[in-house]
Amino acid sequence: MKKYLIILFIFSSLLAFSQEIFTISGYVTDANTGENIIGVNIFCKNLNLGVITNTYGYYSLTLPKGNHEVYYSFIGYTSQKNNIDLNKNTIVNINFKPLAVDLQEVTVSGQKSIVENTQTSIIEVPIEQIKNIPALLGEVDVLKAIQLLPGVQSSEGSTGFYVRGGGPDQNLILLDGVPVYNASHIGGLFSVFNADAIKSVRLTKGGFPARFGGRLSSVLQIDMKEGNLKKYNVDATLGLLTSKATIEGPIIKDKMSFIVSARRTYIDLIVKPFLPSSTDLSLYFYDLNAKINYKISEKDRIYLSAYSGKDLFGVNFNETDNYSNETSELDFSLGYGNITSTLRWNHLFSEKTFSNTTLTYSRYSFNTDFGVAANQSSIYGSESYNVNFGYLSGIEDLGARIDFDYLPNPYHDIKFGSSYTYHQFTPGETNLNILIDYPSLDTSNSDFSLDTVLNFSPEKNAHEIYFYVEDNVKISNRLKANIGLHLGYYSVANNTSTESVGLFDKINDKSNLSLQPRISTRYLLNENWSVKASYAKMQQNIHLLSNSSVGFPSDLWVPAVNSVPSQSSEQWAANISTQIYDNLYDLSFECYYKTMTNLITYKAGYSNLENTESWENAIETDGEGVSYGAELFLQKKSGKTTGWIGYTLSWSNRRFENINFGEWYPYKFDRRHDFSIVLSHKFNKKYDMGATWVYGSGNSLTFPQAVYIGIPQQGWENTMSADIVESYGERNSNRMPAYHRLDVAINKHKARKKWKSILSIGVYNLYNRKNPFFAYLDYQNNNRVAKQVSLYPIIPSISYRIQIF
Amino acid sequence: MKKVSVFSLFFLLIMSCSEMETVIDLEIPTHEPVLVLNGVLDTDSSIKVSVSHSAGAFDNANPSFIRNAEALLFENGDLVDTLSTNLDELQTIYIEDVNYNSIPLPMYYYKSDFIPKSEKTYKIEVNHPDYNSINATTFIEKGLDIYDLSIDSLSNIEKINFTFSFDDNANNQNYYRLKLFASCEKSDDYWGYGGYGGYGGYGGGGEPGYGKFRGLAEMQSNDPSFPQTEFIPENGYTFIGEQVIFSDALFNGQKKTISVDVDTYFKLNDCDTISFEFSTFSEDTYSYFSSLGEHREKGELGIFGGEVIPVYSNVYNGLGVLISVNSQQFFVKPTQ
Repeated sequence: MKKYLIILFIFSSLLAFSQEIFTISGYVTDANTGENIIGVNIFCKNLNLGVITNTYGYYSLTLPKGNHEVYYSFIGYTSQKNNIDLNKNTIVNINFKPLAVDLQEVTVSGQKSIVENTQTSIIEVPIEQIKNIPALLGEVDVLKAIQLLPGVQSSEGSTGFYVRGGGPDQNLILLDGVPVYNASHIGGLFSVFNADAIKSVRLTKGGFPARFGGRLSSVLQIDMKEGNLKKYNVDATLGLLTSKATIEGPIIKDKMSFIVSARRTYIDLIVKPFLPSSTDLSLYFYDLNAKINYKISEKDRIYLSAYSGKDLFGVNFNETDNYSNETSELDFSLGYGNITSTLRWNHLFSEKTFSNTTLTYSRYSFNTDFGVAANQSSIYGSESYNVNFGYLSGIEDLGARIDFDYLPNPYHDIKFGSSYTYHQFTPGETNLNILIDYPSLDTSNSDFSLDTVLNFSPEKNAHEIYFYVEDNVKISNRLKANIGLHLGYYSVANNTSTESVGLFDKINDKSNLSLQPRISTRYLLNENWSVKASYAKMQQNIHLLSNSSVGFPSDLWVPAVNSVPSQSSEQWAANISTQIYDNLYDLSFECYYKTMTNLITYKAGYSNLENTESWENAIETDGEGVSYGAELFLQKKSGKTTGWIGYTLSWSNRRFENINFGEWYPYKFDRRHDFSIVLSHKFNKKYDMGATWVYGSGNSLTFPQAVYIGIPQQGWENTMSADIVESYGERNSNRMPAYHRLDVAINKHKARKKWKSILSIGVYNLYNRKNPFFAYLDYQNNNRVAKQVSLYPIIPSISYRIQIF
Repeated sequence: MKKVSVFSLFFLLIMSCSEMETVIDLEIPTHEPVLVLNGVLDTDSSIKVSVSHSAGAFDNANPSFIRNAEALLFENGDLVDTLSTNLDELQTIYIEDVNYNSIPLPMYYYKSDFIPKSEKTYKIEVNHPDYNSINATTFIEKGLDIYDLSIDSLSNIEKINFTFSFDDNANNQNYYRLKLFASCEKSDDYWGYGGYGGYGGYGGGGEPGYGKFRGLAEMQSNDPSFPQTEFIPENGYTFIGEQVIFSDALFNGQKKTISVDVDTYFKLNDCDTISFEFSTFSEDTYSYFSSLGEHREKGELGIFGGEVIPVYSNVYNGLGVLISVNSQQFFVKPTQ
């Protein structure tokens, strides 16, 4: 029966185009910069058919022969209408002109994307809107903006985020398609994404299309700018803590362009004059983004992009005692950072078939080194000692993927492809080297040397492959669905074992294969309202061993192994969406229910900072998770006033056999209410302002509930004593105080023919709310009290940005 | 306007240097005190337990002992005795307050002349009009036969080696504890050797300046079943400690030979008594000992240390623990 239905469906689709059909295709680009625009609506009004441009700005619309009115529209750009007499395959490249800001509050014609879109749980935030959000120390931050969206929880002082009850490791953060494993600077104060180099930001929280895989909770796609193909631009910002500069322009006009963007902090340079000459301090982070794109022909285009960023904190202190003739040196350094690069080739096989081939490299490493050395002369001769301690962890990926986008007709958008990633894990290695050298005449002491490895977890490599196919199919004028299948294969190749495992050595082991069905459906209730539902099964083959109190750069990425299997999830979501007030406002209400299995967490009492065992012995495995909730999102993307209001009501719980006596308990980031309001308003050409207010229920934590007397013990001289034991009750049964904060910023713009500037003055945490970072127990006046540490009080900021073109 | 702006910025900067740490009120539910039962049942001695009540962790009140409760003893489900307090046997127990001052508390043990037997389940139920009734259950494991005991003080002049063997029961997961106890009149000035009491076992400690030693002696071993206390093995020893708790995970159902060394500043000839206490106990008891040890070792962990380790409790409706050990003491000196 099913076979007949499929044949009938295919037949009916073909029947719809039994007459002669042709394809309109091309790229949509920004008229000022030549950059491709993602997500532009292309809509044939008389047939009520439409498509949108893909990630590379390409579209393909197949229509019957004849005259058609084709509309091109995108928020922030002047809509275009083309009358096309279609009697052959036609290439129509569109140069879109940006609207003046004060003209943006006009009705956008064409499809209502939030209503029409098949996918649930996706939010796109225009980068210009992100730039208007008041930021800590004036440093615009993509991840901090993402944290303001419904369904996304965060913690003070961290760029990590928690989507729909998932852990921070369950978010796939893609920079130009490459995973970024640690997206934070200064332990989470800033993210690694320099907003000046970014073109678009999209967050998918559920209803994942089949092309995504490898994480359970979200996919955050961040695409870098490609570089202006028309003219040179220089954009520089001077801030309190960081400064940055971006330069972009054509190498060959309209064919090849570049963009280079750099950012660096300079606390160490400011502090240096105040330090003694014997002390050398390194305290900075930097980011470097670069991208080149080249239009080889109408059918081929290549992109090469790279990112490198690093945090470094280091102190070197040396001293000489002239009296004893002793020299001593202390050296400490802590560094971590990412390197990513992408080589991408877009190729058009035909008007209907677009392909993207990508080679990727990503590396994250964390290291600390501590060394003490001294030399001294004694009556026996020269003696010395040298102690060095080093810790290293990280992950390195090599990957390749190919994606095809086939649009046979406006009823089908078929995507299929494959990806391979070779992961190399270094889950933590501590080296200790001690060398004490006494002169041979000194018989009272003997030389000592030690060179050992502690906390040694062998390096592990893993193969990860997936294949996918999905079809965004228009079943009727009202009903549309994205149906897909994601087939994953994963195997560990233990290169320290004599029994090396090859890529497909375990192909017959079905536990290495995972079939992940995905479906999203949309039903149009009328022109302005739609309801959607989705289901997605996901599998994640890597784990992040994270301290349960706070995320650190030292958190360990580890592979799924036999004793610690891959984590998986299933998520159901239901959504109702509309556009109101002349389509100026997007409004959506969404409910979700997510289950997770094979979760891991540190055993009680363990953390990666002090753990001296192999990581596999330090964790609880086979954990379960469940989260559910409702999200309300109202967004205005265009006009003088833009922004959004988001509200989330959610629950997130965990269960491990050896934690909380096997009972369910609230997840660390279980947060009942989350509310955010983000507004920016342009008063006139000179002044605009932004304001953000966020509120979140307190995170859960475990504190003692009671104290009691332990087992009496007989001590010395037959005295009796007993411990006072604390009873902690259920895990995470207490709540920290609520989090809320108001940030405001005002910008003054000045524009001239060849340059424009923005002076920004902002205040973070305007009413100086002492928000909880973490809490601990202490005694005060002989009473047990809970104390809270807050990170950021009211913080003013000022920055100056200049753009030269 | 400029002056106002500058002043405002300056004010904000000053404000930004404000205190980061504040005392907060947490939403901790009020703790209603519950009964606390603590006791270790041993096949070698009659039963005695303590009964007290808990206090809220953030309350000013301290927990204290209760002497007018009813404590019933059940063996394999049958009531066998009622534990009672003897008002002539007042004990003073010292607990530490927040400033590490010893606070004396009066206590009467709840006692019975009943001596528990191995391979039996014991339940103690405690009732009190002011509190909810509580109960706890423990199972006493079967005792072990120790054989091939040997002492070698000649092979290594710096060490005394003790070795013995036993057969592990293959049917259960078994847990063991080993302690070495010594009481010595010593001629040299070594003191302070030993601890300040073990978990419910012997007390001990040196007597400063008197050249005497009485208490738990420190053992050294590289037995793979023992927990690794030395991550850089010291002279080849991976375990050094006054007592060791281990499971049969690595020798289930097999003959097991234990070998421990003791440094020779522990002089055999100077000692009146040297004895081993070797105990077997149930999983409950193991959970209590191991969780208490880790809780003490790790303490409050804060932001950098992960989650706190709760102390195991098997008291239904209350707090505390009722555990059992089946201990054997075998004397090295005087020989039995």
